[in-house]
Amino acid sequence: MSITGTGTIDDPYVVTTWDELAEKAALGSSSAPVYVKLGNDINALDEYPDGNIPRITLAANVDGDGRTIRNIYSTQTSNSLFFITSGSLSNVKLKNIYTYQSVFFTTTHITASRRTAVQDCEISGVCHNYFYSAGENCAAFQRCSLNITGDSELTESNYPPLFLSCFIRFRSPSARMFLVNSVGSSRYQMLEGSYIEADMPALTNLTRSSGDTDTKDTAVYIDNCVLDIKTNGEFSLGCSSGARARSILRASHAPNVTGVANITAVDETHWLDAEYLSSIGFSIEVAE
Amino acid sequence: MSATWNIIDGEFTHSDLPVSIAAVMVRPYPPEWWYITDGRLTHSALPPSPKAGAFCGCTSLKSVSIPESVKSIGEFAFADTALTRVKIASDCTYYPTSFPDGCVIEFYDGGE
Repeated sequence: MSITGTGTIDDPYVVTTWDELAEKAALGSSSAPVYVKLGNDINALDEYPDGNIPRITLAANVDGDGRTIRNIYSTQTSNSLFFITSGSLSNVKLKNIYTYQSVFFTTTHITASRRTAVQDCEISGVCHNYFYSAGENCAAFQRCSLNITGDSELTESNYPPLFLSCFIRFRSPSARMFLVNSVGSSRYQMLEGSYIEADMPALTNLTRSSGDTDTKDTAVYIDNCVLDIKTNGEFSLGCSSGARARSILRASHAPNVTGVANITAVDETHWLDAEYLSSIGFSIEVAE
Repeated sequence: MSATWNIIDGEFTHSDLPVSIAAVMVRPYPPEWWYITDGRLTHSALPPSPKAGAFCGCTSLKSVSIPESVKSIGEFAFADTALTRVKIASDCTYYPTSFPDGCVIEFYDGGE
């Protein structure tokens, strides 16, 4: 099937293969936006069964139209499956990812505004690298549902990533979940209204600097979140304290957590007790 | 943050939160992804297991006499032969793969 459309918001390019997506997603800029839509589901193994799948540069705004790109298999160890520059990715399911490189990567194209680059997406698979890596400022993920099995941190960036209303299920032997390199003295929102369900038996710090010091791990805000993190050892949440919206942590799955600021550890008796959770300041509906 | 959480069916959720997705990997797996199927360790780039039966592939074999004393016939023993009908002891054990597809199996005690 050939590409249709002209790339405008009213008449986007409609692509039907990985190669077509790669061709059109690389077009455009923030000042001259290009729009791309998926015309059908894509089985990437049909085009690249050997793992040599080319990267998608997201300069354009890609709307998945609710469709699925499945079997995204990459043996490359550098780069990423998706390189977000001026574009965005929305409303698509990325299933059966199996990659030795990051799924998403951004550089200085993402400005300090931390604009939303990935939204309303379902993303699942195995990632033998950081799921998301950023060279400078991070993009935001909004209303995304992730189910990732990895063997390192979920993210690696200079400044903290931003997850807004995301469901993150993550399994990894890593000692950290968010690797933050050089945030300085500033404070950044990292998680808001999100649900973290992690199985990380060796976790020591939710955030940590690359030098493995904890000087950076207090530089993030975690607001209004549910944290259900299974771990065997003692770990530090490392979020910034202050008058922040209350988050809750499932105490039975993380019995030795330390450094809790605005995150309240909740025992199993009260874990699904909305009245109790409301009483400790967690924003939850309580039945009349 | 304005989102107000709720508990529905034992799960925390709120109006802006997507549902959790369950599957991490489902078939087809990428090449060289190992998995266990039908009790065998294999991977997606491997061809099907070789058949190793005694008469497997003897395409000119149209009939065979199997004594009643034979009590066990292995996998693929007569696979890919021209057999259309065999007779075996009723207490003889065999596999679905022992004989070619469509081969009628009779028993010495009269059953089929």
